[in-house]
Amino acid sequence: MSDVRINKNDGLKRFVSLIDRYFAAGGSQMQFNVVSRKTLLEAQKEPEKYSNLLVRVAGYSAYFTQLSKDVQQDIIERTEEKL
Amino acid sequence: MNDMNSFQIDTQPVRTERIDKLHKYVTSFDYGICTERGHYLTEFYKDNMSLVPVVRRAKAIDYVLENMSIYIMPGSLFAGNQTSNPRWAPLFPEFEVEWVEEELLKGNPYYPWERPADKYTLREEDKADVKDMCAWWAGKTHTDTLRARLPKEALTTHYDLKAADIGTYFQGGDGHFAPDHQWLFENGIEHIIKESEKYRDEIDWHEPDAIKKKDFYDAAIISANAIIKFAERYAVLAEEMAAKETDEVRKKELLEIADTCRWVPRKPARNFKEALQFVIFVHICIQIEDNGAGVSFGRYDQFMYPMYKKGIKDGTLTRELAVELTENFFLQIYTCNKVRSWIDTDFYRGVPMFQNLTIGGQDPVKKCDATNELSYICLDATYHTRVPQPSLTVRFHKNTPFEFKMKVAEVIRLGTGLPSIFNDETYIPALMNRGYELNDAYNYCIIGCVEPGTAGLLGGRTGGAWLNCTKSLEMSLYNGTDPITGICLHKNFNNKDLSTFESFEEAKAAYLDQIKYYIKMEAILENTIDQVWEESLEEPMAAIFGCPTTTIPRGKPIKQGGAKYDLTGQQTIGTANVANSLYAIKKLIFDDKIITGLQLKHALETNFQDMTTKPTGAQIKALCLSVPKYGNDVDEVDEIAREMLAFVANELVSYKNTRYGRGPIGGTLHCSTSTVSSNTPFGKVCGATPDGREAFTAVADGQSPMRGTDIKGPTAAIASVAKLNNILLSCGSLYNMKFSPADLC
Repeated sequence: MSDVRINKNDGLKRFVSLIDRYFAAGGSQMQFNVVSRKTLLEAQKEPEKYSNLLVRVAGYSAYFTQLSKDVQQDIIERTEEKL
Repeated sequence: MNDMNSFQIDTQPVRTERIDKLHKYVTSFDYGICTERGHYLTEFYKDNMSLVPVVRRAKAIDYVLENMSIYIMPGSLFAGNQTSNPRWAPLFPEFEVEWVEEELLKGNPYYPWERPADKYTLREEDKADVKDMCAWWAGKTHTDTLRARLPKEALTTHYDLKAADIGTYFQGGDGHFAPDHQWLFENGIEHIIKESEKYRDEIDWHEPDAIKKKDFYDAAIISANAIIKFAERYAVLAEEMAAKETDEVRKKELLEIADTCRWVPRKPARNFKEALQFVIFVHICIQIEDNGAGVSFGRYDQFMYPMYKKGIKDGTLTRELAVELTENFFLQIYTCNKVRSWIDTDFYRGVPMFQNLTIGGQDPVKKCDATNELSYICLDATYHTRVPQPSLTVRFHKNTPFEFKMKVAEVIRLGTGLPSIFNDETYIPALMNRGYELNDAYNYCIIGCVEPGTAGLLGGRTGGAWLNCTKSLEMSLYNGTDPITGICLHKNFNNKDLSTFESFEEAKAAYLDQIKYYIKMEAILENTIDQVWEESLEEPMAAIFGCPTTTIPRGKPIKQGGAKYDLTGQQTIGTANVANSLYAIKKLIFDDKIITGLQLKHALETNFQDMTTKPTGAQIKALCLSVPKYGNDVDEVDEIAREMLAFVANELVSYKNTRYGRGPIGGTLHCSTSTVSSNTPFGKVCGATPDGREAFTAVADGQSPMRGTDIKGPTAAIASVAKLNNILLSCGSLYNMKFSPADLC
């Protein structure tokens, strides 16, 4: 994972702090999608180019392009949080 | 890095040549249906219906394992396959054949290979097999029994209203446990045989359950021998392949596989690789015995660590080799698959298997951080294999090292959705609240999606019916009648509807009364299914691999009360819609008096489309949407969400399950907010709701805010979700968040 260690990882630290904060407040579980809306829309348009793209559906992950349109839409429409 | 759209696309995995080839091989297979299991099982049942059910089951699976095709994947250091090809799913006709016949033979509503998504192929030459098994099983399946024996109102709840849906457990078995892998590979399967023989010899024949015990031990011994023979088939195959192999390195590997398969699972594993091979055989056999989902692995970094340390110490293992073996193991596990009916598939989009694997957390005895090198190795393996299985789970607690949390965050940033993170500080007390002993609670792993339980001690059943709270809410607005089907099973206790409620309290009480009724329907569905499983589908392998330290001494399989802990789980869906809707009723009708209940009811009935009213349907929808929503740290609406979910959780625990008083600790129903993809099919059966949600659109997932309505940023969103009584969710909690990759740089 050396390819990502060159960054300062400030965003990543903020992300870890958010998890800490949620758990300190009494939260139990978190799972994440980290993907831009742009990528998901492109994957819908050109599924063959994005056949390996995994996303989180619920308590599991799946290949985005193999999901039904309504589940793809559900994931696209989920609120993209800003850190 | 600001234009980063996906770390998955923009970074390359680092894999050894072996793993890279294996990855290409495994992922090259389209999902398919393999008829072998169904064929051999049916062949056995045809001639052996007179056998005692648990023994019949053990012998039938033995017969399948003796006859099914086996293979060793190119380059793999492990053996073990569920069906004739990677990613092909077996058939389980003993549970239900209607959908198999309708879909595989008649294409109604789709042939599996013509589905709009979640496609499976079927070879033309296998169709005769499918026809044969459907013909023989018709009228004899688990579903047939359930339909004949469930009360009508429970069937209506499930099939027509979908206020609670338990289709998975009509069409399949349980799963939902983590075997005691460490106990198994430290003792060897021969030990189970010896123990079972010893207990069988000691049966006191005047005891009222003596015959049941004998039957169980007979079945246990048959099943234990079956897995040993299955492994030996691979030893023979590996030798045959080695004899033909021209590459000397591969020839040696194949001969090593042969040696390993002759040793494990019969004998205790002697090293890291043997332990993994042991785990694979146990896992695969469970996946062949029945089609329960969520067969999980437990705390991999804990139970494999003694073998890892030993290997590093004696020089037979390096970190690099442990990574490669773990990745090989992951890809081996990814070959397993399951096919569901088209209707059930809607609840399980994307072919999930829920083969969960847990790392991190705390030591059950010392109560300190338990993270070790294997925890990091699993993160590396998930990062570089980039397949959806096993489903990696990480346990955090208040003293989890920062370095580990950062590494976990890096893997999450990749965007595969793995791993998910769990909080020991709520999960441990949640389990203790259901009777778990302290050390067992500290040793929990995640099973399936989000459900906690201790490997080897929990008797499955962390999954159950989906409770569609939005449907109960909707019916409470129409005096108990479902506006979609016109069915009314339970009128509102006050005989009122949205147009006649005189206060917010009346509206709330009507919902609580409806959900209470449908929780009772759920309890009927859950307990009837368990009773029918117990009668004819008791699983001996699940018993001896799942809970060997209790089922064997007690002489009881799991559904008779063989486990140390046994609770019946379920999934509660739509909390956000219920809270937002009740709050909208409170604000718009009673507090601010902007519209009347009659106006809102009409708007809902017409799906906000009637433009002839004043205000118009569209204006009423806008009003509904403008009311503050759960997920923005607004106390008033968050409190409604908390109260509604806590009510469901407490109500569920008031129902006993079928193992109550028969040995296990627990013995009740309990609550989770796991969703899988049920929020879309449940949306399809729910009309418009007062939260501004249009008819037939997806409801909220898990305990997450309704998508798109948490607009005050992540800090406000997490504050709302944390206000729920997570500690009551002893069957698991689920919260989805989405981030932009650029934000995590």
